[in-house]
Amino acid sequence: MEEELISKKDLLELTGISYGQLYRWKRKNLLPEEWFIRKSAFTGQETFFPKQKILDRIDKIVNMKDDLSLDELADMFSPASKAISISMKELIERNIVSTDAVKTAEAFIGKSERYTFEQTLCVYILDHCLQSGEISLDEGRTMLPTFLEHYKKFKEQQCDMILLRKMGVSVLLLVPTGGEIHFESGVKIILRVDVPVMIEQLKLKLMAI
Amino acid sequence: MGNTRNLNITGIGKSYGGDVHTAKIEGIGKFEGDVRCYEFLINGRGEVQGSLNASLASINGIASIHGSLQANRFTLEGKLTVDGSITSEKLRMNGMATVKGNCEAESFKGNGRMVMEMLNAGEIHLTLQGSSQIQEIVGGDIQVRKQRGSILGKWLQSVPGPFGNKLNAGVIEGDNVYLEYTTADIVRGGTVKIGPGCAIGSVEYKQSFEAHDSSKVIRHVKR
Repeated sequence: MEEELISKKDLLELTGISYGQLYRWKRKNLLPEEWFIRKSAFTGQETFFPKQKILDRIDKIVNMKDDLSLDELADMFSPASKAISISMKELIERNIVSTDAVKTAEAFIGKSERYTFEQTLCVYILDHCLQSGEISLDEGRTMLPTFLEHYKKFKEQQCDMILLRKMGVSVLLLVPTGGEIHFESGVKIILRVDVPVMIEQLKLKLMAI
Repeated sequence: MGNTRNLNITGIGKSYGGDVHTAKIEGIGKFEGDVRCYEFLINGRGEVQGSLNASLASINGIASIHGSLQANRFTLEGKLTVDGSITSEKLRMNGMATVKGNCEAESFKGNGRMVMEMLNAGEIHLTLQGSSQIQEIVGGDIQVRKQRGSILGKWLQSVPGPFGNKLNAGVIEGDNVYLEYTTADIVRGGTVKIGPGCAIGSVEYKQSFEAHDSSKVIRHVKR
């Protein structure tokens, strides 16, 4: 996956923020270290960023920094699970997940009145995959336990979940975020889910009350 | 931090690190591992063979830290070597600091000789004594000045070589930049003012640009 990059100079010009702000946000962990990509350009060392990711993130920070403190924002963007509990009824009512996803997931994450963030995340990802129309309920059932078992092994949960299919047989795997993978011919990538992005989305939805 | 244990070395000694309230070396001492504490103090000569994490840290004398240094408030009077990086809120260094990694702080006040990979702070005030080398400096407000005074310093200035007070940098980027006696490839900023004794490859500025007569700026562009 070749990502489009943007240089620091262009980024500041495009977003209208200052060096001070950009690096304060970095120090506050609002912008992950991995996004600061150093490359040598003809002018010497230059810093580049993954364009889409950083623009999205800066847009969010700029829009929300009046309502939330920088620490609260950092908490939202960090991939670490938040300590929350929320009732499934509320999740369905607020349209965060669908009833079908909840029913499927209950077999694996257990049925309880209130859900932890991790449980909610499972349902949310399952719901996302089902909504995309690319996977069947059966595949969803094999997906959840695999995801639950392995996603924590990645540093800061920086992983992508990929579903492959070849001649009707599906395989699920977890790889580090953005990692490049190549297959034999005939293999089709059905779905690639960026887990940190899902975590961020879910946090955003949970916070918007 | 509800820990009330203290770790004091007075005279010559060593200890395992650990999680304590106060860690103190007076004399010559060594911590053979990571140290986490509320207050950290070295008077004399000390070594941490791991990382240091403290709310308040102060070093008077010579210290070397094999891991990273994290402290809300950090002051140095003397000489410091850090193999990892430094993260701090308020950082004041007087003397000589060598940092293999990056140095990040909200406010950085340095006086003396600094050698580091990258310096990143909201506010950077650097007073040069001796020759400093920082690959990349990024911040909001950046001010680099030369220590005034001493006749010996002036005399050394006339001799070419590693003497004299100066800063060697690759890239300097800030919203407000003022530089003296600095050699840099690129300076980017909002308002850029180049004081005496500088040699700059190229300056890119947004609002304003000024350069002292004795400085060399090969190329400057407004963008």
